[in-house]
Amino acid sequence: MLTSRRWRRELREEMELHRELRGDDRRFGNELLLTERSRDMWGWRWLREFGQDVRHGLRLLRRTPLVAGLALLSLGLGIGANAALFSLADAVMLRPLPVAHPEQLMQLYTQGPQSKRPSPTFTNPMWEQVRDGQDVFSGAFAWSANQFNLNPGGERQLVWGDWASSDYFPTLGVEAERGRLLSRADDFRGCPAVADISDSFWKSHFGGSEAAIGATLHLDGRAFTVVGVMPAWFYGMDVGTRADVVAPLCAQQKFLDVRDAWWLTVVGRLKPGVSEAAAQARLGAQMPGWLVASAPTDWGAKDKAAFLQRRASLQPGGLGMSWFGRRYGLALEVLLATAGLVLLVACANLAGLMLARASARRQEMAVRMALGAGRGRLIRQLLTESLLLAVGGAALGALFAGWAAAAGMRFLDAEVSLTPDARVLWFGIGLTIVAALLVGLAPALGTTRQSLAVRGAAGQPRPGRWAAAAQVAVAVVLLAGAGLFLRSFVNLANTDLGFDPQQVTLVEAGADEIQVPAAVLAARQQRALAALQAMPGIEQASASFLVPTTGLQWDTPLRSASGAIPDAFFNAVSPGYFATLRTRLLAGRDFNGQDNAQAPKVIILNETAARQLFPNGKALGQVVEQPGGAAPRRFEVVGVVQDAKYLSVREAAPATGYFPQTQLAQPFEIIAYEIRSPLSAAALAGPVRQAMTAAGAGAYHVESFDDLIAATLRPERMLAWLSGLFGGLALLLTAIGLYGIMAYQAERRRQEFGIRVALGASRRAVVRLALGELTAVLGIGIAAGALLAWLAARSAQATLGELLYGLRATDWMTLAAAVLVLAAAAVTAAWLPARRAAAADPYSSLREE
Amino acid sequence: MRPDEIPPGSLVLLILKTLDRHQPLHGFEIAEAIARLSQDVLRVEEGSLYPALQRMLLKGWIVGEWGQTAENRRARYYHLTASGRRQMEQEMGQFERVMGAVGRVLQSQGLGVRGEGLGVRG
Repeated sequence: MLTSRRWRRELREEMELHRELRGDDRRFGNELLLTERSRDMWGWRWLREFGQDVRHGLRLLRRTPLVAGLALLSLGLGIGANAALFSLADAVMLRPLPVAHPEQLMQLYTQGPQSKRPSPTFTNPMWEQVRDGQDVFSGAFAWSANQFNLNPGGERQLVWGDWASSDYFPTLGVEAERGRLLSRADDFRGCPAVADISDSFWKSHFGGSEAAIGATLHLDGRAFTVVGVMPAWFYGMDVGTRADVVAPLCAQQKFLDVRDAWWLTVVGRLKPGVSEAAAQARLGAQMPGWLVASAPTDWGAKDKAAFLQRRASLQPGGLGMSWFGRRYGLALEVLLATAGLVLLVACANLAGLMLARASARRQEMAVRMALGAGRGRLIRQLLTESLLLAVGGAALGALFAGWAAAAGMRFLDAEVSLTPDARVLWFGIGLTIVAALLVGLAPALGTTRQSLAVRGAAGQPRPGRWAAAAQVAVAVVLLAGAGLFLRSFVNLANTDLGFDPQQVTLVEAGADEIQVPAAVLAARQQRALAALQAMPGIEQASASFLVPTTGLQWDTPLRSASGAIPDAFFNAVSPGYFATLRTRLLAGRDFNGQDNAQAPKVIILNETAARQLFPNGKALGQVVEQPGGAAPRRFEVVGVVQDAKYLSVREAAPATGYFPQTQLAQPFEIIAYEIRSPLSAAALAGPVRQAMTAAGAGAYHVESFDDLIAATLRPERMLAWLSGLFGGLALLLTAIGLYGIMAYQAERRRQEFGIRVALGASRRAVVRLALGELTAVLGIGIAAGALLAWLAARSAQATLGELLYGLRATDWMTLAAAVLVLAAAAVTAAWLPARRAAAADPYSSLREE
Repeated sequence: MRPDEIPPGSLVLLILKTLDRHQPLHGFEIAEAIARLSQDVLRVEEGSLYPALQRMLLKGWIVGEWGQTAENRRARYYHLTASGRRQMEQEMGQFERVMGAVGRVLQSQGLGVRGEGLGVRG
């Protein structure tokens, strides 16, 4: 019935007959209006009008494909970049765990009297107290993320997984896909070694076959039996990685009774009817008792007192533990803000464009309004045109965003399910609508404002000037930001580490050596070092307990007669360590073969430690003391080395002391070998395998030190890259926008320029005239942008400071550079068309009118 | 004498009643019939007739079929449906109730304040 043409035809036929039969034409009225009103009876008028607007808009856009293409591209990039960043941020920071009722999950923290922040980690004895004594949770569990080595010997093959207590799966509401999941029956002292595997691990490692259940899996050298497969949607509690293996706590034999190893995270599900506040109060009351029962027995009185004073607190645990969020969260937020600004620039650009086009249609609009079209209707039509652009851009943007988000995931090495959820979709839709409004509202309002008396078209319509100035201001802010992050990253990459990681290969070993007698272990480590040192093609090799910047730390207080360091950091190294890593020896000597177990205990300090312990000068030959146990241990200082980074590249080198490995009371199981060689880590893999096997060493892992350090700089690198990209994009868009405005103006004033030139004005004067107005716009925009950038930097100094290195957020040189770059680009962009217009032959421009 | 405006809302009822008396009719015939039956007091504006016919088609009170007039011209003839007849009766009842009340108000001599009771006569 609604098929338009036939319906209209029939109605027209009816009305014609009526008219004929009536005999006079005059009072029949406007047929078209009649038809429209009849049609209106059927309702859906707004839909029909919308359809008309869409068709009309498409026709207009097709007529100017270049403009339409440019608009689609810039909107697509703008919307897509925002959507990609938001979906990344959503997947790793905002999305609750895909378990039942994540809002009921609470994470338990304790905070010592001296600490600034509550700590999420527990020892196993503490956890056992909580587990047995709590009564506010319907289910509570403890877990610890771990990288398990699947290879019983030789080079390590690592997978991420969790040690988990018995109520891990039941509390989260996860059911097995195959076989069975760990439960109460599996968690008791002396339990058999069983494990669950993830769906993806089952497919990749066992080929998805049924034989996986009951198969043997080696984890850190111990044989486990696979008893079940976890469902595919379960990624574990740590957002950003997937737990491929889950093993019961009781099978982790190293730390179960250690009272000062803090390795477990505790989460519980609130009982129905118990509020968070009530649970926190109850746990707070019970905690002192639990602490007494699990306190370390061999700590000094002061440390023990601090332990017993720890207070309990609860925080929502439904978002999971996101190391990823902690590491990249701030950077992602900054990038999201930046992408938002770029979108703003793109919209301002397009708004300017639409304004220029709309001003050409001003007369058309005025006529239509005089004929009776409602202003609202016309505005709706113009907005529909910009909505078309926005929707087209959003479609492009969605494609781009999908690709970009996946690439981002890979770059950041994160494992999260990226299927967009409702939040991301609504964000995208909202952004599209906002973009459409920003682009279309000003032109729509502007062109429908007139009466039929067309005003003289001198100069730029005012909203156009605002749009241009706004673009320039935002571009300044973005360039300043990009400059900050780029310089910061360059500072970080070039900072003096105190050692030289280039051409150094690391061999990290021993993480799964359990209960090997000390003498055997020490001998094995010596043999391995000797074998590595004997490899052909290398310059030097050494060994150490830990490698700087890997996150491992060993810290205790250190004292001397003239100074004290409350928290000094330590490492145990072999002779030649400093030479291998090229850390300068400033005084005294390196360790040598004489510093063995029987010789007097020695220590090498770094500059900072030496300065803090001996402010008056010489450290060599002095004695330092490490408190602990029955009697403090004493060491003679035999050397002072240059400061070297310890915890991370960003943090300053702390006061550090080095012991000879041979003088340790007990050799550490974990050990790292540093090999300096022009050969790459890959080239060394074979010889390393031979050496390690010959020495009887266990599993190990080979990597380049340079790569390791580069990996720790990933957030800063990402920030530098992307903010630079966005800044460049904003610069390009602004330049294009200014070029367009200038070209349009020059075109309109061609006749005027022709007259001026004919009357004797120099070309330069004409160019200056043309540029005149735009210079004002530029000046305002740059000033506003600089002010905005400076204000933003000042107010966000603390937060931004975390992301920057070696310079402050209010660094004026960076801001000045940004202003200069933008000014140069803008002036060039505006000057080119102005020059062309002024250079045109005055006779031809005059003749054209 | 200039024809009077059709009271708003009554056009549909007029059309329904007309079709009830002489179905089927085409558009012009309906307008003529209303004019004739009201002795030229009511003239249907074409601008209202056709939109009203469309609305009634939408509601299913009438159906239209193409046919031939006496002069062999194509015309769409409308006739009443069962639901249209129900609607007509409902609207007629409503119309009589409303008109009766209006009439009573117009005829009344005022409220009884002189001890004659507050009833409405008529």
